[in-house]
Amino acid sequence: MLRSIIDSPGWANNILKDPVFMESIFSIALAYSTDGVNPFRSGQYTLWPLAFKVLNLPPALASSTALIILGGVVHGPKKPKTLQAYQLLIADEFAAGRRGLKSTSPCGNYTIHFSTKLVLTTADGPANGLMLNQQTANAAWGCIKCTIMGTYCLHRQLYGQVRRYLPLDHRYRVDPSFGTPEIRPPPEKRTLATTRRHAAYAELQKAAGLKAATFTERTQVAARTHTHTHTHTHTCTRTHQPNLHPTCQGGKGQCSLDTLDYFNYIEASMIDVVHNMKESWRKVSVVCVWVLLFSRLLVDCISLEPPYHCLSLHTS
Amino acid sequence: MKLLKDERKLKDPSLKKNKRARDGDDVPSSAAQEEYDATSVLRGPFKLSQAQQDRGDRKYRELPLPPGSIRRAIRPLAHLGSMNINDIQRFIRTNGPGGYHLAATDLPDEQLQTLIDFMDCVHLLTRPEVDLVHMATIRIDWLEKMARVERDVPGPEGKAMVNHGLIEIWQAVLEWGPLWTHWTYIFERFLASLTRKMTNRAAPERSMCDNWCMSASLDLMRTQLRGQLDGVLSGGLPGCSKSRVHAKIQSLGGLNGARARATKHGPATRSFPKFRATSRGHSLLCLSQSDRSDVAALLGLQPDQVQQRAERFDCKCFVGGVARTTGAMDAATVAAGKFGCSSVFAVAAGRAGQEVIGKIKTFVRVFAAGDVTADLVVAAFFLPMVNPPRSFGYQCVDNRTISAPKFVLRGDVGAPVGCVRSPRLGDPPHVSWVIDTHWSDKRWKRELQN
Repeated sequence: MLRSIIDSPGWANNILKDPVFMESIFSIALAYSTDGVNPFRSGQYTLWPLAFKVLNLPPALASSTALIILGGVVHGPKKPKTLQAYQLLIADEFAAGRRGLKSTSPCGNYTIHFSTKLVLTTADGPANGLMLNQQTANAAWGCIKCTIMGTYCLHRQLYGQVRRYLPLDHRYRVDPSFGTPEIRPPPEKRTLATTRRHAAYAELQKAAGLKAATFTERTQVAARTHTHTHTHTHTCTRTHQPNLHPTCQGGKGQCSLDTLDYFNYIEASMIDVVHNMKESWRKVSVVCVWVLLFSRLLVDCISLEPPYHCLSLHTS
Repeated sequence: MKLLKDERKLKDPSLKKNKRARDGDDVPSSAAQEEYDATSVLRGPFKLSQAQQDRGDRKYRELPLPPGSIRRAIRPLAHLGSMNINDIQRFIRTNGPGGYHLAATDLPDEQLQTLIDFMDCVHLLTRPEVDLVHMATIRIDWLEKMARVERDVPGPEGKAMVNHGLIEIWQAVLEWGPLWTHWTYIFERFLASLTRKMTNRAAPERSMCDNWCMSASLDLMRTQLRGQLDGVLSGGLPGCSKSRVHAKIQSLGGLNGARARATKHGPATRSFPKFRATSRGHSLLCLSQSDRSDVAALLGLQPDQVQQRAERFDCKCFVGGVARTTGAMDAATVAAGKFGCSSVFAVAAGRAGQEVIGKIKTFVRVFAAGDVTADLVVAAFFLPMVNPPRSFGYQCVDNRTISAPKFVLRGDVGAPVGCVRSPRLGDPPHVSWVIDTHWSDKRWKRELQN
């Protein structure tokens, strides 16, 4: 019976068996999430706050909104094309936190040493894609956890294929009411090694000048070019695959969270089906407000080095 | 507009040609297996009767909608074959914090059962506690339900990425524990609070971040620095500025004013509403002889000792933000022999968590000899109880006796059970969602026929 994340096997593998983390009782396990919000409830102006949740608190406190840490805000007139540059700052923070931090105890009497660890990331579909630099829904390989391949039909990618997860001798696999017989095994899981390979392929292709555009654009282009030959978008899948080489399998490039050596960003990413959003991108400016990350829990963090009080940068 | 496009696609001749060509193949190739036939995607095997269709059309045509809404022009049930998830959300109307209402009569039985199963699937994943053994035993069953969703929900939405995401969430739950520890609702709540912190529309991000820093440091002072502040600020003369500041700080609640909220709203209601002796919800009732013998057996009296006169109360309570009423207040549905959408349902602990076992019809106050009054609940049950009495005080009844109301002591009836989707921390897992539809009614009728 799992009552909390503390009981889970993932926690046991990532936290309890981690000697660096278990050195100090003050160590902090964090979950990272980001999502787009529109402060004006109209228009396309979005803010992407990068937020953190402390996992090794009592459950009531860990789920408290007041104890969520705001790491930074990426804002701009449209959805950012990529978050990797900003996540690199976060990854650097976590790498520094992994090397060990020094602070004063809450009562102020003695010095404590602790470390921080990024344990998991959680986001909804499009945010997951931005976070992990992968293609999500409406792409051929739209799942960040497995290599299930969708089929293009009715202007959308259809995944389904639930019967692949059933046992091979299950009656639903040959039930005619479900359509053609399903003989395929479950889709292959993504692993860190394969995802790194796909990301490297994507980086190579981008370097070779292949633009890694979104799938929606490509279908639009494909539909425009096929206007005279096909009057409709038929059920054929092959002509509408993205131009990126199939070896990428949905990877769009390297994920900056991969710079953390301890962090398996494929296994530790959670999918949430809260909502779907449309893909869009434009010039993004950023103000990354890096408030003292841990000041909300520990009284004195002034001894952090280097002092990340506030840093602001503009990109075009 | 989109629907029209889809229909045009159906009439497309090249598509039919493709279909014929594929039918000619003896063995389906892997490429053909990956392709979906647009006609089978669009047209489900479901049909409504004409009466059902008319009723649904009438209902949804008169549904209040914001002006200019495009849905007003669409007759939702006329194109059931191409129903997408927006239409389904119409059927599954959300009420209050986490309640589901299914407009059950508008859907064919098979499709409705699939949707109920789908909600069961989601509900299983969102349980506050994860029982690994239980999940392993129902894995195949769960996958079958998901496969049926893929089959029975026509249109592309049955095969959307969110449905596949549920399978991945299953793995995540096994790996990282219950979903509430790592779902994004907490972050969404945080984002909402962050949006509310915006005070300057010209510079939203700056004002949001500034105000967040301010509130975060205030929280820090209230919680972590409370002792130090008390030490610094105590000892002032009454009325001086120091003691006034101290009093102000002490009046502040904890995190986000949780203490203030708790005192303001009071503890949650945990029982049925009290009987009100007003003329509004109160009417006189004449008990029949069999009713009197039932009541007497329940109270341990002789049937003669129970008076014929009784008072009937009907009440309205709010469960999860949804108004529920006892039987007489939705008299039309009772007269039709059905259960209304807003009825109070009786729920007992069963094998698979909570089970809906009946419906609370009304409350009565009976009078017996010697100035004895007793408050009773009249309930109609539609499922046989395995463990007879005392779980909620209900007797073991056969489902065929549904028309005969049963008397239950009011003290034996538990709290109203609501539609609570997100588990509250610290609560025992007794909250569950109740689909109040006609399906149980139908099932009961089917069982009667068998």
